[in-house]
Amino acid sequence: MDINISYLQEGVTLAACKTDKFKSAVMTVSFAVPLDEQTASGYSLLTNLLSLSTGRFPTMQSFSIIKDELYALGLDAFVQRRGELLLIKLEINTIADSYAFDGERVLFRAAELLGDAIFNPNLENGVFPSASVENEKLCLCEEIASLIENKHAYAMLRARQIMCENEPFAVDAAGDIERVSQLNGEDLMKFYRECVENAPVFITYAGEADFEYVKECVLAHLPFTPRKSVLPDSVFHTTDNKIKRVCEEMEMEQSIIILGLNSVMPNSPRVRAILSVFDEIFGGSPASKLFMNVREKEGLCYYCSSYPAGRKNIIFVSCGVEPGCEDKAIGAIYNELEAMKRGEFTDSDIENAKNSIIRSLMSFESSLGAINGYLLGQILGSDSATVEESIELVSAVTREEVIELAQKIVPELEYILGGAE
Amino acid sequence: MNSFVTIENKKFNEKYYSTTLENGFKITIIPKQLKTSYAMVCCRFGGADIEYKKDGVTHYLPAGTAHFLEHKMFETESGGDSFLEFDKFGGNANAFTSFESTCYYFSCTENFFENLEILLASVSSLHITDASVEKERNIIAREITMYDDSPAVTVSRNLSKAMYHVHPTVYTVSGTVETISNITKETLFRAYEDFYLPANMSLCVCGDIDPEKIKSTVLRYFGESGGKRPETLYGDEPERVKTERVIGNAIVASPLYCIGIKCEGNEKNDLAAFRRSCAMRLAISLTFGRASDYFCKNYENGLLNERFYAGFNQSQNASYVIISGSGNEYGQVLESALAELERRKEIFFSDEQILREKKAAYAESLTLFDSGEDLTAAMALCAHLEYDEFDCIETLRDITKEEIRQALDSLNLSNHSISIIQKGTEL
Repeated sequence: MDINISYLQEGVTLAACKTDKFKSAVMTVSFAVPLDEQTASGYSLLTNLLSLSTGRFPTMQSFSIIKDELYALGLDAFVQRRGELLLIKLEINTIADSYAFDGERVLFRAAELLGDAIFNPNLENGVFPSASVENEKLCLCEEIASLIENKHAYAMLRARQIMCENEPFAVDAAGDIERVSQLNGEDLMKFYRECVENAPVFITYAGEADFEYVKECVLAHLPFTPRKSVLPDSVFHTTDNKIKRVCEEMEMEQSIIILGLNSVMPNSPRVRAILSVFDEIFGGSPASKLFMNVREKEGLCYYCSSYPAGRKNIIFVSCGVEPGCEDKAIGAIYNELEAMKRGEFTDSDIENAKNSIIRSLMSFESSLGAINGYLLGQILGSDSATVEESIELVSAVTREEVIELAQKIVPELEYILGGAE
Repeated sequence: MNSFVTIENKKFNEKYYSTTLENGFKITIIPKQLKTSYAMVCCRFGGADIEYKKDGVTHYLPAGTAHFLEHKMFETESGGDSFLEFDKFGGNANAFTSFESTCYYFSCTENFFENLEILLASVSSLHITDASVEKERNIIAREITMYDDSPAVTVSRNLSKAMYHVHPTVYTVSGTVETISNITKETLFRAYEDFYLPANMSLCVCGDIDPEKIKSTVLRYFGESGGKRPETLYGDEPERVKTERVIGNAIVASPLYCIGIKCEGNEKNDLAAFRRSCAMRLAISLTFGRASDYFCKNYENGLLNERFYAGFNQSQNASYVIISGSGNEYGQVLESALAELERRKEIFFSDEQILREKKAAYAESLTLFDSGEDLTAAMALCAHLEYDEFDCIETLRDITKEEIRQALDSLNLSNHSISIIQKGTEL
């Protein structure tokens, strides 16, 4: 595996990984803008429009046909939340040139199509055609509203919104129905220009191609001009040491509990390493305290797991229980947290946790998507650690550090969806 | 007799080794050099195994037995949990149950053989008590109700129940809270003894691992000769659908629909059946895929959205075309989709359209080889079939226009059901 990073212009970075282990390849263009409730809806709608057609392939059908001809598994456009950043991503998944039927340069043509989607959108009189805009608004509103059909995802969003009220972290990357409904073609042009002309852009590639070939494709078809390169910092989530309890009633067969814990320590690669060891022992794996005790011993639920919230000093715990058992489950989760604070775990628990994290860090090379994600992490964050650095940091975590982190943890939110109080 | 044979596909630069032990246990090894190695044990015992014939006698199991057993297989002799054992050696383990099989697997970056021993030990013996079965019932009930809260799951389950009269596809793999209440320690032991036989099981490994050493490890756990798999009874399924329309209620953004066109079930899971299903998949994606006239026209006029999906489901003795999506105008979708299939029987696709569709499908099947995890699962499931993933990809390349036309022509469009989930009330 061979990783190359190149700063093409101010604010334009390319990271490519050459690997001969895969038959497909992925190239992603990611624009990074601050996550903000005023603008998220616009970027979200823009992203959907850019993936529908281009100036050269102005109908959905002509665009779909050219993608199929290029063995395209897809040219996808989507928005993603990463801490307080909103990433607007356009991504092409295709087969490696060496597996094409007739020796085509598939990557070169795929990059051309990607460039077309970005630099030559389908416009009418200089704006996005109103018929497509109106249709996409309805589709996006339906998509946002349908989150409620996935109860767990809905509960996680609600917990984030309640716990981080008035913080960018609470913003849903998909946008909100009210703001989406008010957007028009001109508004979208502003979002479009902000992306294509001003936002820091990160291009990543993983596949069999040499760096020179990747660069050739990028320079030919993705001619980004210099732009700002500064990204906003992560916001520290402060606490007032109070537990907020929110119950939202919904007719459901089981209740979903989301606990929001503030891990208090400011984010850094070292803290993330300690947090990952804590999480692995507490609730991040089938060998963890939450799985072994709340599920296996007490039989209270099918799932009970913890998730550190990216680069934020927050840990969420989620659990699905029989209506009426909510408090019993919350009590059982707190018991495990208390046990962590008292240091009730063995040295071999720590060793196993570290080994598991290190193996999962190392295994990113086994998946194209994971490599591509790793590349983005390397060029996006100013405090990103390489795999080697992360492994070193995790290896160095001590028992005392895990206990110290556990002792600082403050429960802030008990969110229950479904159960009536 | 037991030495490995090498099966190679030079075009894709892929190969695997395969052997069958004297007792029928099959081993497949894909020597891929990825950082992570994978191993999966499959037992041909799944959600469809409800009624079966053994030594001339018909037996019944409550729906959800295979899945219940899956939950209990990781319990160790001392009442502990295999997950903790895997954790010691860095194995990341899990299991799943489908209609036809139960599969247990792990991935690891080191200590492969330590993890393999834990996996084989887990699936080659059953350690349960009345108390542990009782406790597991609660956990599984929570799993079942979790899916009950998903309208997307409910709409497709309801479709199966609308289309089929007796085929076990009317049951869900995990059963219901009611059916699992009838599962006891004795039920699980009987199921285990009847189905967890060497001849009914297989191991698939993906990784750069010594095949002979894998074989000798397997022999230590599955060395004994063992009986014959009982025959699963699928019932005498009538040709027509049971009900044309079924409506449910749930909290949804807008109504969800699932349309099924019932097709003739395949008695055998052979390559010919696979070829027919490939032809049908291509026919369906040509008609309803993202580049089709139908999708593009109806997306632009607002009838369809990104959630629209059309495909072909095939399992033993049951296969159907499925068309699903969301929106208020599901009646119009039903009518127009059937009309489109009728039209396509008359105005068939061009050679160019077919080649394009095959290219896209080829690319998609090629990516299977990029995921050690998915490849292990696919090859493990192939172990007891008469074809493998290489055949699948070759079939896609050489399937003919005539075969696709025949697939489309074979559809009896009047034999359909629609399942709808309407917008229920929020509290």
